[in-house]
Amino acid sequence: MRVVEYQKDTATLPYQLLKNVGKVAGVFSLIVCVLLIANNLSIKKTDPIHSPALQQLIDQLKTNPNDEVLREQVRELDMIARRAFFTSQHFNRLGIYLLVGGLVVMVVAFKSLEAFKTAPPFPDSSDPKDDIVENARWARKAVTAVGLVLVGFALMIALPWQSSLDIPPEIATPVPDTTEAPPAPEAVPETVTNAQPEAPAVSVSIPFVTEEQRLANWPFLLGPADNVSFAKGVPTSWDGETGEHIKWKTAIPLPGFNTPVYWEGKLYLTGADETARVIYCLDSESGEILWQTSADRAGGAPTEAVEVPDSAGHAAASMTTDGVRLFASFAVGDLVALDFDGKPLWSVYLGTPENSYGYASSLAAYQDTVLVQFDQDEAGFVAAYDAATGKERWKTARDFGASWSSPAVHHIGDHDEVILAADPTVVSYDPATGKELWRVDCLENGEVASIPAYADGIVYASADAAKLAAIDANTHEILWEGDDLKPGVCTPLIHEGLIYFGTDDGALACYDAKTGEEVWAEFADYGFYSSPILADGKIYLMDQGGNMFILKPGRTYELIAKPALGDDSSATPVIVGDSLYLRGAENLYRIAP
Amino acid sequence: MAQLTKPPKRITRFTFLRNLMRGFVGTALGVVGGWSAFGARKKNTVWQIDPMKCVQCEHCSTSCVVSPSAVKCVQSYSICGYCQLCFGYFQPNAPELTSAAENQLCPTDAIERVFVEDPYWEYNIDEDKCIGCAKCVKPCETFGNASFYLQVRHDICVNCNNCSIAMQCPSDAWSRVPLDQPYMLKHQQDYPLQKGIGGVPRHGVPINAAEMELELAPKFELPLAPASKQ
Amino acid sequence: MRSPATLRRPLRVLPFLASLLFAGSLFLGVGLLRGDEMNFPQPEFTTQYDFPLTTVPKPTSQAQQWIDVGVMFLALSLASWLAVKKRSRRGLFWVMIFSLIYFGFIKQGCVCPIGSIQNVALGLFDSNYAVPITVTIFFVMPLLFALLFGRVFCSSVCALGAIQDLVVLKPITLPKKLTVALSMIPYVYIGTAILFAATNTGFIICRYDPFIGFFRLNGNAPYLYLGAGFLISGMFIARPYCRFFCPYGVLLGLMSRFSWKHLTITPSKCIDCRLCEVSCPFDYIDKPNTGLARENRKTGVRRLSYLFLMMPVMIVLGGWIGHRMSIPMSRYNNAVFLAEQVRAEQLNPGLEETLQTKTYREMGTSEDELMAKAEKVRRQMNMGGWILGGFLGLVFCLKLIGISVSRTRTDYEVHKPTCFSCGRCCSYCPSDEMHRPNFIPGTPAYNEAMALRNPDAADPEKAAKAPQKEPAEV
Repeated sequence: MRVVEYQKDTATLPYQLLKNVGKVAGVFSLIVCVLLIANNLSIKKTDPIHSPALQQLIDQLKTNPNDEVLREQVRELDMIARRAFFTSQHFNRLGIYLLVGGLVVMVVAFKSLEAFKTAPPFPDSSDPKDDIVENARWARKAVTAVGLVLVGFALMIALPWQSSLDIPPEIATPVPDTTEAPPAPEAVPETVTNAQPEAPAVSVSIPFVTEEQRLANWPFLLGPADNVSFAKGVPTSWDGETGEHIKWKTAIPLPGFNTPVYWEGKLYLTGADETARVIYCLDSESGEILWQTSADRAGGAPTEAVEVPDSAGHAAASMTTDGVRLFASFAVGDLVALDFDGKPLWSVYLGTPENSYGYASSLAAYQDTVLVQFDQDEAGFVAAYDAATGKERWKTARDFGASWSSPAVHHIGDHDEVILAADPTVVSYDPATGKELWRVDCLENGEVASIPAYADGIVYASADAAKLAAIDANTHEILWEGDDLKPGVCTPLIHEGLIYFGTDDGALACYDAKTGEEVWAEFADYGFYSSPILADGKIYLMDQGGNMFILKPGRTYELIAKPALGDDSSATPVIVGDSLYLRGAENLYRIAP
Repeated sequence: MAQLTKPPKRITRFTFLRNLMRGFVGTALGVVGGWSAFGARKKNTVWQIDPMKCVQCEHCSTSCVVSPSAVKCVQSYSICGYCQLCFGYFQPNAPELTSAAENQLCPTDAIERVFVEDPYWEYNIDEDKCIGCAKCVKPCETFGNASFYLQVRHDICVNCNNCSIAMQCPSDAWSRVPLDQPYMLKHQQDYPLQKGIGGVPRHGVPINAAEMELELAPKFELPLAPASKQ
Repeated sequence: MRSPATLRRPLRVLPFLASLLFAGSLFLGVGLLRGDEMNFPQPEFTTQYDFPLTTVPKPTSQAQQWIDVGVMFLALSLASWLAVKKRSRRGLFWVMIFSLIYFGFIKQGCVCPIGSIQNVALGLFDSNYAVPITVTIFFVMPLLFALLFGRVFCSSVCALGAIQDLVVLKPITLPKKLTVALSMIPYVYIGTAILFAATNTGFIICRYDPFIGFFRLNGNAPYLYLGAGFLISGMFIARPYCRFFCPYGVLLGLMSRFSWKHLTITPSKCIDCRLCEVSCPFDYIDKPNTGLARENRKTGVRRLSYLFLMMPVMIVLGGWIGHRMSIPMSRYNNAVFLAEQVRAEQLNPGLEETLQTKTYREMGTSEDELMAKAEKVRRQMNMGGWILGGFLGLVFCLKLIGISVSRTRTDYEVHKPTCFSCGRCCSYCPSDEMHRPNFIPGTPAYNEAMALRNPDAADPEKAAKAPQKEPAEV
């Protein structure tokens, strides 16, 4: 390597001056360069704009809105973060100008030194003649070496490379099918089956929920398995007035008729009035409200509430969960998904329901979707939304009148069906695609709020002002119809060949599930909106006055106890573990031994 | 000196070959250039984001070669709901609806909130502060009118041949658009208020060239709701 | 007993004011996953309120692009004149300063002819992409000038060349074997760049442009460091990017090799004074090779025939390697990358969803569509890989042949394919009275040197050939 050396007049002052200026500029540029690098690294390391500490403080403040110290802290930290960000941005810009300036001075200074050249460098006195042969040999070797390096490099990358696209598609089957066969009754955990009624065919399969988890919780309006609870040691006596067995009682700020959802020690329910729609989370042990999330204008639903009668309210629809998310819906026609911390994940505005009693359909989770029955006076539909994104999976128009019933998925034969009832027709859909499977007309002029029940190959649909009909799930023929007593809002419980229900006007009845014959009927003081639940070998059915009818299942009416809550109630009792969770008009109660 | 420098002209094999090759590469250049020019467009292109495809992934704020990013949030006043509770402005569950730091979503305080009349508030973007992180865009799109959206600001964008954000964009929202339609702004007429089920997906309409020519100032204003629609 | 039914009935007739009010509320319909619609109506203000206008800045106008084309043409013409006719290093230096400021800092390095290779390649192979006409002109113009006047574009018009040329302070001469080896890189670079551009995978030349960060005075850290590395090494290794990386240099070299005119070291007859020997910091001056030991002719012929025979083998081998490399290379294509991720997630459900695959699923593009798109790119990439590999095989073979054939040179000459026409050598030549600010014939140093270095000068016959000029005025 030969350095080209000029002959220069280096002794003069300007020469030395320029040289030193160049050197100083060079050192200056170097320092600026180092500072810039350090600045860039520090921005990368502690990105002040995405400060998790700040977000954490803000989240804390949300649960503690009155903490002035915290508030000040947030403001201070926010100011520091922003100042740091803009300062470093500013420094970056300034720094690069300084750097370029320094480099220009350096280059100009050093270049000016050329003006002091007195003569160009002379060649060596010896004249080493090039050796053409040797040079060519070296050049060939160099080119060959580069070629070989390239080939080796390419082969090293290419040969072991495996693209997933080259794996035959038959191996690359899609994500494991989440449509698992529903567990047979014996799959129910043993602790549950002992001294328990045989669990009816459990139907809703949700991918995120294990069977044990689901049976130990209350993910849906009707519990884990069609009006059946696997709770044990549930109290049979309590008193709202004396507080006997009432472990806690928490006032829910906003009213709602919906049944809470119980998931892993927490209860989730909604409340709403004309102006606000809120989702609450309560600790099941303490009854304390852990968080509440406003769903105002969710999905762009209008601020002004729709007008609904008091008998339905603004929060009649029960929530549901798929084990990872919560879903809620209100009378304005919105659909909201939240995580268990109350953070909204997505929301969809379904449209303002034209429904004279107020939209009241509860939600059901099916696989990785959430099902919505949106029956209204015109242009109703049933739809499934992606549980993760809220994207519509399918939507099927329903050309019926308004209803207040809810979707429930049943496993019939070898497949799942979601059976919906409205005036005048019971329709079954494929919950995966929304395709209609069958329909039976049997609910003419009915005001359908009850959910079609299913047991032992028979679908039971019922409506106030219409009839109670039993439909063969395979042949889709009507097996029997009864228009004497029929559940209006309540969803019947089918247990050991008998169907139990309460009616809107206060009758308490048991029919033979196969034949439709009345087995017994009693009358209460209040109507029944709540549904009967089988728990701990007893049937729990609460009337609107808050009186719980605890019955022994059987062909005779045998009232075990009738404790009173002392509060009006329309919600179905949630019976989990050893406790009952009852929603009164304004309070939520936990009743535990 | 000419007689010294110029050797006698003689077509040697070497010069013949050289001329041949010269003609060959010249023709090749002509063919490539001509072919390219034949299919060429008169107008250049610039990069732009289709707000309908954008998924607000934050790459726009982190991947741009310009720092802070040439992508900024844009407010289309004509479709803004002027919400008192602006989802793009406030933290979810903000303790209060004030502009205090703990309530604001924007990490750089780039949104200005101005009271208009009860219950309407105007929201303006301060571009000098905006870093294009889209934190405000996402909730506005999810819960609101989607009047906040990202656009490439062409006074900052250097129009790289290979936009490094476009390479990162997960939703294919970046594309080259004609120079005379450099923005995909949302206008109210693209969002007719109509009742219906199963609305038709709409796509950002590049503003038309005629409107662009209205003002030749460096920053020009777009008419809010022109009667004509493309 | 209460009868809820009767309680409810009157409510049936209640009109739904709210629903009328919000009759405009749109339903989030089929295929829409995000709120692309207005969820709230535009407020009706009771006070006087004018909707503000959304303002957007204008992009660079089309006229500006044509001005750039004009400036480029003028700069190239001026540089040609200065290099070929005036042979003025000083003039070229000022053009260089101008280009650095205009094409570099003002135009911020875009559009540049180097990157335009990719636009043209994409335009040729992808019918959906039309190259802007100005970009085509940017691509063709420097090449045309190179065919006419040599690489005058490199001399002073290219901003990347200019910034490197200005920082050359103490250039060292690299060993020939190293420079020969490194000079193969541009072929690999341009081949890969064209393949990537043609398959719409990416514009790697622009992506890895080391100086663009400086031109913008703004940039992401890694690229700024890369540029700084080039500039600092460029103080000692003259123009490292131009010599060992620049893909456009391959095309310019091809044109310049057969150029009509070219900058010459001497305007008259070379007297073999050897003064220019060290003037070129790039080592692009070919020395005379008469009177040197030559290889045995028979060996040379045998080697050449062997190389010619090897040519098809190397092309096929290169093609095969390129074909194998096409699979890893296609991964840089967004569609293929996404398809691979989607497939990988299917194969391994435990894999965490990336932003890309998540968005893809949200957008609801069908998998068949994605796979078909990816497959198309992979097919193109495969074909391109064969061609690229074959091309590189050919290039290496031709290079080996080129090294093995040597033409007789009697004078010091610039190496036309690579010479940047920077004009440094011009001022070293004693034959030219106009260009020797630093070396004045007639001075003692000059005389001494001439006497010492060129014994032939003593020979009256040869000395007669050398220009006998009066010393220029100082």
